[in-house]
Amino acid sequence: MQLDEASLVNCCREGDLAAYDQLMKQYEKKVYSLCFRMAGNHDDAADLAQEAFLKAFRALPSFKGQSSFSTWLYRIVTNTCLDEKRRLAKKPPVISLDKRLEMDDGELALTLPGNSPDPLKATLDGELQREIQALLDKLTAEQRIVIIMRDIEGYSYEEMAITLQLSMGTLKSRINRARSKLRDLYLHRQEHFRQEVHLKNKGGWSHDM
Amino acid sequence: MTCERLQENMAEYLDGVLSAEEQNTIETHLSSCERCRQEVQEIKQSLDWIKQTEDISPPPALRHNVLKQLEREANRKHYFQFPSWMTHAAVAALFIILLAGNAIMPLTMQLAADDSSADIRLFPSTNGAETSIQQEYIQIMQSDGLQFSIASDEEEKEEKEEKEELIITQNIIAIPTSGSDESIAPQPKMALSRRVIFNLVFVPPFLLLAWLALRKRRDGLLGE
Repeated sequence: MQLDEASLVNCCREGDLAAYDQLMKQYEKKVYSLCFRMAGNHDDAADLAQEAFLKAFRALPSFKGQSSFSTWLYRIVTNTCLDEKRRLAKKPPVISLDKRLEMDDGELALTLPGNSPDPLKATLDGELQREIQALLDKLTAEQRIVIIMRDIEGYSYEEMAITLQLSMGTLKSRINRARSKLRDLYLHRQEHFRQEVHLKNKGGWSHDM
Repeated sequence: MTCERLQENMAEYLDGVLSAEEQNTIETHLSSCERCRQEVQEIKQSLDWIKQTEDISPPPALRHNVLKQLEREANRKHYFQFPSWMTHAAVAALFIILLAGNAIMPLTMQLAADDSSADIRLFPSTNGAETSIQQEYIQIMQSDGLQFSIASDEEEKEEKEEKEELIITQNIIAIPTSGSDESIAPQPKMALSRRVIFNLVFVPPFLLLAWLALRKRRDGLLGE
């Protein structure tokens, strides 16, 4: 017998794990792809999705049904993803290949050729898919999440406003800003994927490594 | 329609959620503004490009791993977790015990310390000085009782007062009556160490439970 969502939620609240399995089945695809697009690889995405589902189950007793279960769940998922990004941002970076180093006679851009296996290559098939994910990864977490939700996963404005706890006005301006950043990255993507080390100065000379 | 206005409405325009009238206004502007037209074109292009992402499938073990973890927690919960009202009640009770203990401790402990070095008589002596000390104790004890009545509600207050009376009667019995004034001199060192032990015993569980209660509250807020 198939239970409707409200009864499933009620069963879960009483600790029924089989009911939670059914609920997860319904949402795991959306939850996981959101996590994957935020994390950029399967390992981290699996951790994030798992953590979000655990948090949701533990918090279920306090879910009073003010919003729909889906938006409530997505809020936990997006918070989990953004918290993780913030936590990582606090750690000192190892080496940033994207950041241009200021030199006396210009800027030094470091883009090393991929000798070591690229983590993305192991996760996404196809040049295009990798390129899209790499471009997404260049956005800030806040920009990325609105692009993912709006333009990849197709959430409505209302859903996004509730999930991300933003006013409609703030949400719209975030979408606008994220999209123009995306456009900049898209138009200059050839530069970002050039696999060479070059020195960019007034003379404009460069050499391959 | 200005370029700024278009910028503000860009998201809704691209998503086609504006009214027909607004949509028209923007299109009129676009037909006359080369710069905005190009920007719209570029953003559309990059969005179309990014929309080519393929569907991602969750790993088959995801649900299994979540359920396994939840099962472990459910087993543990059986032994260690109480309903949240119990946690809150325990925090409140410990708080009152701490408050009460610290308020009574110096007096009762001094008396208890005196027990060992003094005779115990059932009836207080007629010695004037000692009687006044006795009354002082009673007064202090009563004022302590008053403090508690502020901190606790009616029911508990009655209970406390009963206890207080009991302590007072015991104190009266325990008042030393023999010897000089030195024999009833307080021994602050003793009282202090008992108080320290008392706090060492009760403060950690209080903090632990308070932390648990706060964590529960936070987890609860997550879902609102």
